[in-house]
Amino acid sequence: MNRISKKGLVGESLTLFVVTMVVIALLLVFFFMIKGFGKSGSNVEEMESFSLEDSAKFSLGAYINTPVNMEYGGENITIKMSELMRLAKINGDYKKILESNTRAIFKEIYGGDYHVSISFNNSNMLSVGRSLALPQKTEKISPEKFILKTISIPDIEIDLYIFEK
Amino acid sequence: MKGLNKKGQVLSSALTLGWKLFLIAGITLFVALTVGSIFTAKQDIRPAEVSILANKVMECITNNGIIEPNFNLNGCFIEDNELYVSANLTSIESNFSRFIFSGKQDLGVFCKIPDMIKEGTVYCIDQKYYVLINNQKIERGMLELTVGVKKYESNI
Repeated sequence: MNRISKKGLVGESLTLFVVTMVVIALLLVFFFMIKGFGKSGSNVEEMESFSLEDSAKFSLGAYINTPVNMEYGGENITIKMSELMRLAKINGDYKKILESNTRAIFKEIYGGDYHVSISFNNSNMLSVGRSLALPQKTEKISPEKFILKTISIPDIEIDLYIFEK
Repeated sequence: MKGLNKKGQVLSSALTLGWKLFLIAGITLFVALTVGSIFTAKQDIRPAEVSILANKVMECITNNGIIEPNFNLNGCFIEDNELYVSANLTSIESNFSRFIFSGKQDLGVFCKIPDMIKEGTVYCIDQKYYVLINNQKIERGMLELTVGVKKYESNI
């Protein structure tokens, strides 16, 4: 057997030591990554948001089909909420009817924890419900958690925000 | 340059080999424990179950937001004995109201108990929906849906 110098052995041992340290460091990094990944978001909270989103989806579907009794050209007529939105775009009186009906409907279901925003060709036409103002960056208040569901019909987009209690 | 004798060389090689084997064993153990903990971790899928079920029930009993006053939950995916679904339909415009339920009635009682007590046994959600009731004329209404699912081996 050839003789190995002591220097060579020290070099090999040092290399092995460095490799061991690197492996341990990598294992620790992986461990904390996996631990952190597992903790991100509770599935109960996520699912409660999904069920609130479902509520918003079905409520919006019923909302745009809601019949509204109103006077038009001296006659009492019944039109759908989606049609009232088009009338409200051209006449402020209909906007008031739209606003009061929208408020009455969503207040009944979600109390004060909602905000409805109706846009016509991407310009806001009506906002009803709780203010959407988010805290300033300097304020130490975390923004409120809410879900947003949007429904679109030709030219009109309706956003429903429901705030989580 | 000074060298090692044969005994020293053998001992040195054995130590190096042992250390390498120890490293490999450590890495293998880490991978096994990490992967094992992921695959054997208990996941409570009941929140997902009730959320999906509530959505399916709504799709089953409503059509474009309109619900018939004599609606029922038969055929709405509630055949399972470990589930409970109740629907309370109330008109906002008249005094019409209707309450129906399907599934295991005991679970409905558990759904009324505060979380602290029912924790680990039954998971329930209560959700309100705005609906239109086709009651001769279309009326505005509210549907309160309660969906509960029991804890059993396959969902935790």
